[in-house]
Amino acid sequence: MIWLALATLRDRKVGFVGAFVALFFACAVVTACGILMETGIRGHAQPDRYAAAPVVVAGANEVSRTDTTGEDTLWAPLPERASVPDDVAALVAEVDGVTRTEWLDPGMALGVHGPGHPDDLAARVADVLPADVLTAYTGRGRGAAEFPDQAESQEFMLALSGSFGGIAVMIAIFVVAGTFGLLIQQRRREIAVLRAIGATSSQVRSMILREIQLVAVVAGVLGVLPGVVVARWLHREFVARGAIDPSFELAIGPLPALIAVATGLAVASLAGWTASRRASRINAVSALGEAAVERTGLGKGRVIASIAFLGLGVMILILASAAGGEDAAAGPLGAVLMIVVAVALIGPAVMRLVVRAVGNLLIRLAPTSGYLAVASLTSGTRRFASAMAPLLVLVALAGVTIFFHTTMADNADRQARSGLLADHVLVAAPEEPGVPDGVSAQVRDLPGVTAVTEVVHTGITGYTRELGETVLTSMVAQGVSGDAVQAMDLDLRAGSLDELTGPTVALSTLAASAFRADVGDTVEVHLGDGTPMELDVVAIYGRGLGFGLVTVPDDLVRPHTTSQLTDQVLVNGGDPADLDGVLADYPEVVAVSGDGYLDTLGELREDEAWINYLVIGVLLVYVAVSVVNTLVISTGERARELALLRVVGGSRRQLFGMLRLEALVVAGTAVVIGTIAMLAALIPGGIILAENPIPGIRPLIYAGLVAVAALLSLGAVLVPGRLLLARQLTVASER
Amino acid sequence: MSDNDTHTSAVRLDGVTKVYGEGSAAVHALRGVNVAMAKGSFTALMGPSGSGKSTLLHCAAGLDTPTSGRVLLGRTDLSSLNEKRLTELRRERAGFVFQAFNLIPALDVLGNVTLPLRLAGKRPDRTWLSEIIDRVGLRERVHHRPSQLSGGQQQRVAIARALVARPDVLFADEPTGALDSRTAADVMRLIREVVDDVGQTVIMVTHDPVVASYADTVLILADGRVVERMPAGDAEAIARRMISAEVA
Repeated sequence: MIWLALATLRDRKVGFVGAFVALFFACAVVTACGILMETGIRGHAQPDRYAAAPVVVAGANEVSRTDTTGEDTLWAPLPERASVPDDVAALVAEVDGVTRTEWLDPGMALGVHGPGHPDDLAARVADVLPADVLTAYTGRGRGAAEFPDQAESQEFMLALSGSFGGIAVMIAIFVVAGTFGLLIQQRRREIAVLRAIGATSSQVRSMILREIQLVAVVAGVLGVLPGVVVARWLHREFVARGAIDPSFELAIGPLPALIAVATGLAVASLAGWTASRRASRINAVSALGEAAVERTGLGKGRVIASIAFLGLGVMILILASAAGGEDAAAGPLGAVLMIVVAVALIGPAVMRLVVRAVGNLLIRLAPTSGYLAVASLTSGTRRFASAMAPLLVLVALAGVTIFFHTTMADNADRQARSGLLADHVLVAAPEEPGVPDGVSAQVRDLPGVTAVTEVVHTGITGYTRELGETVLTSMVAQGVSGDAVQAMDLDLRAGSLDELTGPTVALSTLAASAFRADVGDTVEVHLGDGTPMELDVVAIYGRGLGFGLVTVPDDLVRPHTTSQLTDQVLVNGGDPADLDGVLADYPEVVAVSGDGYLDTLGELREDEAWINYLVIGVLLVYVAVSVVNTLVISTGERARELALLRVVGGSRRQLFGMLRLEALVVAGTAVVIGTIAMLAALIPGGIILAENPIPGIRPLIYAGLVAVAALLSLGAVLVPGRLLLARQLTVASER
Repeated sequence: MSDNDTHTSAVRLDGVTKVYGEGSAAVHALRGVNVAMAKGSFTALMGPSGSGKSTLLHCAAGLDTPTSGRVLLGRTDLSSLNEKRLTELRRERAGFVFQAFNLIPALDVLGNVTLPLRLAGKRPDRTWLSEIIDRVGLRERVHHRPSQLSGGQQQRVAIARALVARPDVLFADEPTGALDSRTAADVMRLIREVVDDVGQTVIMVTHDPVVASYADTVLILADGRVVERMPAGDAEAIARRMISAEVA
């Protein structure tokens, strides 16, 4: 039936424009994500100076393990880089086949020369290196050694493109499915004629699918270029805002484009399959009758799928709460996605309920336009539901993405404020790596100073349990020296910080649940530079978000950080003037009050939110296009209805009123359900991560989100509505 | 009755022309039409495709604006009305029945019939509404949706709606065009009854001589002009005149 599909496409360009636009933008967004992801996977910068040696020995940038089954590899990036000690350098020089070694960066990177393949040489060198801590890099890997910030940039890119792309594909499915549904509805008569002249339902189905696939391929191929432009723009923004290293270049290969086109094709086929099922059920006789009226009631499949997705959402929340650690944060977003899918699947039933609930109010507020709006909403639930779905996705996902961040920021701030007991905080001045060693000893001797605590911020990588399997989890960690109990109240639940010396650890409740560990147990971790270690759990505490998921002795972890410097010194008591006296000798250190320090931290957390706004911004454009697209098509479909209403005496004002109310009901439904879905994720998320159900919603941003939803919906209905109402009334009598 | 008798005319067109497009692409749909329909009369407009019969109906009903000339509905000159007044006029003084897509699918029978009143913000006259519903024979189906009705029933709903506001004129554009001949005859008998029983003025476009034979007067158009005016009589006579109009 491909010839018929082609002929139809030629003939009905306008009807397919909507589907084309939806797929075009979907492909652009997926291409952009694909490029960011590919960059994340293989975007090593080329080694520059380090290219001088075939093998480079430097601190490990990741830790990896093959799990017990030998199938899955556990992997995690390392937050710190170990230095290369002289004795190791000497051992390397002795390795068989090594002709010469040289310091590329003294103490940090050793260039190793020798004949033969670099990989063979590297393998022999690796045998004398301390496992997990130092790595023998070859080829492009040397770039990762030379530009250590890359690993972080890489992880950032992977995480971002993953979630961004996932959301984009989700929205694409809804939008494309909705558009195709409308298209089929418009073509009922044509399909009925085909059925009448003897086309089998499977022929009709394959015709529809072919058309849709053709459109998908064309739109996909054309969408690649704008996708590249978006990826470039995002990359520039990330570099400009310091989220990724400038040396981290965009890797633009053919793969993301292919994946984007394939994704578009898959999404279109999935959406087309559903639509064509409906189309092939069109019966030759019935469709040739009066203007098509929607089938009421939902397919059994939809209801079952909806319940399944809802169950999945609840399950994700429960699992996330058990997972603990930072992985728990992924739960709410996943749960929201599931809830949104569940609602969208039964969208028509939801719209019907909403109309039943608000119908009388609308009619009371606006007797004529309200009456007309309620009638058309009631009979066109499917059409309005397909316009509502992308708005719902927008409100729910944008809301969760933005407000999950602010909720966590609020909770971290609350915990830090109630937990910080120190009066003064000494921090490194801007652009300085840390607080030099001598400072705390001098401060300790000042009159009135009762406690001095050195704090180092690092990360550890722990072997945690997730769904019965061992995984590597990165956790934010703080190293604290002896006086910590006086400087900070971690909200101790069990054990005591007094025993926090040597290979010991205090776990936040979140970390404890990730490790499935309690006081007295031993946990297996890698320190910041990769050093493997077993730590005894001596305490469990509540304020993990405010201070770090795990707390370890300062002298245990500091040697395993890149700078090996203290990040902050917390001071109890003492006179600011005396502190300033000490700091006069240390221009690289500044003293701030406890509150001032907390304010700075809060501002930093708010700044991190920009990335959410950027990504939500891109998605917003995409959703806007989708919503406008769906509504424009569905309004255009009503040309005859509007003309008829005009002929029998409806004024433009009345009909505008009707369109406006319809648009507001659609937007209102999306906002209310989207908000409920958002809260369904934020409240449990807050309880799990911070034992606090109050979500950190910013009223202004929320109001903005609601306004965007309302304006999109209104604009997309009223603009085509105005054009239609300006048309000749003789449309009503066209045959 | 004379064409110049303004006082008894329900609808009157004076020198109406209608040109679509401009320059060499211009299509002259009406080339100076002078007709008047008396109150209580039933007029059928006939003619080959492109003769201008539908354009004439649209202009007479205020759905389309003439390029030149004057349309009077009763004593109201339509060209003097703005959009808002025209809407009100259609609502109160004109009723429409089209070939198909006459009804709002979202509304049930009662909703469709009372729609013009609702748009005008008026309460239905219960006795009249009840009489109309009975007349079109849809008492049992007032809460059905259009999709649940047969084609003939849908046309009856459209007629009921056209009558509900007691319009001066009922405009019908191929009202039986989508119906089989038996159902068409039922619908035409209904329209005829309305003319005879309540004195409703009806102007109807049709191409079917049998349908036209239900009218009082038949106007035959060709090439944008009225070329023949005849009493309806029997269908065969109409058909003969039609053929000669087409040949001429």
